[in-house]
Amino acid sequence: MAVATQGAGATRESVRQKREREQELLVWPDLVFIEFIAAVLFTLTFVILSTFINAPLLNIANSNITPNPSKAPWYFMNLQELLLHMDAGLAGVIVPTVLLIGLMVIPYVDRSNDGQGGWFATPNAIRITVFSLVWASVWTVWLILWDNSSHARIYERLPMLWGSDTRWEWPGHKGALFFEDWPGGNFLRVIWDFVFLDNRIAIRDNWQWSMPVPFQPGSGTDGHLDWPRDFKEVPLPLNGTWIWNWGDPGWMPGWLRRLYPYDGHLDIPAITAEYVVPIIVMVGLPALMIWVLMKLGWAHTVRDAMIALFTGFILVYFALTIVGVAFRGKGQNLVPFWKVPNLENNPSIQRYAPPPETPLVFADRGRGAEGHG
Amino acid sequence: MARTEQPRSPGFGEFIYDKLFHNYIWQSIFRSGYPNTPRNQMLAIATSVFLHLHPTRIHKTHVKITHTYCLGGLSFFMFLGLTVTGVMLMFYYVPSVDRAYTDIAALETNVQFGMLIRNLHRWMAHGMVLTVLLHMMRVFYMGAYKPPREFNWVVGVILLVLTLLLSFAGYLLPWDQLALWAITVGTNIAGSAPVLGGESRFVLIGGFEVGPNALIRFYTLHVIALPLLAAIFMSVHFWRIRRDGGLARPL
Ligand code: HEM
Repeated sequence: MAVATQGAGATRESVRQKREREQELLVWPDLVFIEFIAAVLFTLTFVILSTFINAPLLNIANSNITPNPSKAPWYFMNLQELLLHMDAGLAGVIVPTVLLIGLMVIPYVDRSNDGQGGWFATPNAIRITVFSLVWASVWTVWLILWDNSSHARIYERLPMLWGSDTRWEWPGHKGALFFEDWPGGNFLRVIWDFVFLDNRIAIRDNWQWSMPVPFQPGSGTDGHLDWPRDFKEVPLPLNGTWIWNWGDPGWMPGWLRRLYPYDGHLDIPAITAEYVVPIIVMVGLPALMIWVLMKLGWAHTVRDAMIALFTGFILVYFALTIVGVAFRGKGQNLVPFWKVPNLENNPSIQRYAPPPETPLVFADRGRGAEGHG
Repeated sequence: MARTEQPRSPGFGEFIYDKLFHNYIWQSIFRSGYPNTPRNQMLAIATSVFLHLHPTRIHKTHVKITHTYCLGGLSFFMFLGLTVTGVMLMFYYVPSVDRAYTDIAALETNVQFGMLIRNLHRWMAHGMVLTVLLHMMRVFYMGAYKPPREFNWVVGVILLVLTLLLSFAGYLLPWDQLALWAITVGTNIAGSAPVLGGESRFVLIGGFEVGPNALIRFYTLHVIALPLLAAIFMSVHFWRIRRDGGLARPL
């Protein structure tokens, strides 16, 4: 028939077109009606919701009364939570910027067409999603507890589970020493202390070690490099030498001068606690996750890696939001959600109360009537 | 002939529709009755200002609810609803430190349906942030960002940012304690940028602390600048869906 008389290429083309046509529906009525019903349901839902639940309105803004805790809107609470765990600039600006750029480049990194247009359509998509959900939630919860020093309390209380009332101390933790006789024992001790630090800030304040050195640049002259003391005011490389000794460039406008560290000193312990460790965690854990997925034989393609990373991101976004909204009380302390203060109950900032309605009094008319009587 | 080319016999809904709207006045406006032939149905889509955003035909898997859960469409509905309720709120609201709070409070007591409008605006704003996030997740887990839709994903990320900013800018306007301190916390985050952080915070709130200048800036951003930008990017977003050949589907 018609097929026989046409060229092979054209045939395949027209058959394909015909098949596509048969898969298609008309937008009117099939889609337009669905949209209409969706619009009706949507309107009803919100009208009902808004009839019963009122938007909050607290007392008038007053910059002298700071509510404790003060919280950002919920979709930024994840950033506010992040702020508790690293330098503000890193948490509030660098991380979100990197994440947004990361989101935008997903399609330019993952360019194959595999699994396009169907839910979890690549072979291991669901497993990878579940794995990264678990991975990200376990690490997020653990890290929040750790930075809050809560994990230490959990260890200590472990013996109470089986009825003992003594607290448990890590062997070698807090004072007890058992490495010192070993070769390299001092070094092991430093590592050991690091592993069992109470939290992130303890890297800056409570981790102590000292190392003998033949000569000492900068501060002390006791022949030892001490953490953290000797690391707090490290001049920038070459600063103050003949190469880099320009002094205060007073002619520069302020914002440019800020970019030019003419008298910069580095506080290495603070940088370690505020930047280095958080960055290692934020880069390392996702990388480790992908490595594990590859070792398990689940992740093979760029799409697989993207699924793991995106899922991890979504989980952390919502997990930090939930922790920030529901588990941060006064002074941003970690508390169970029933102890998070409800701002509306705080007398200084409580909910706006409409003035009592003034009863309408028809006094004049009443008197008039009396007059008549 | 393809099945879709044949006229359909009118169903019950179409019968009612015809009886209700097939009258003199209606016809003076719309010129035709219920479009019950495929040709007229396609014309209805192609010639209407509001409907021509759609293609005239669509692949049958795409009308399944589980394909999109209507999330992009719901985000758009929210945007429309927010525009309508937002305009109504603008009738009553003056963005000055003296009046903002009392204007909002007056909605509760003095304005017929004022509280309802305010509630609608508030809950839709939260709802939109949520549906946009969910929409992004559905697009991702369907691999719908893959070629040729790369750029529309980027437009989407910009829309996500605009949605968050719109919601954030609106948060200050009631000028209550919640608003003031949430914006203080939020703009402090912006101010913590390693370089030019303080400067960008200053520009954002027009001073060193959240005050009258911040209120007027956030108001202007909230009612003009950001909605305009969002509308432009949404137009591009929808246009690209058509240009990229409709929604993604398995090859
Ligand atoms: C204001 C925010 C947004 C609105 C109103 C919106 C609206 C829509 C609509 C109506 C669709 C049609 C299909 C559907 O409903 O799912 C769509 C598709 C799409 N959206 Fe959005 N969107 C928004 C934000 C986003 C975001 C945040 C992303 C991603 C980061 C995104 C990426 C996409 C892509 C790639 C498609 C094509 C999907 C496909 O081909 O299956 N959009 N959008």
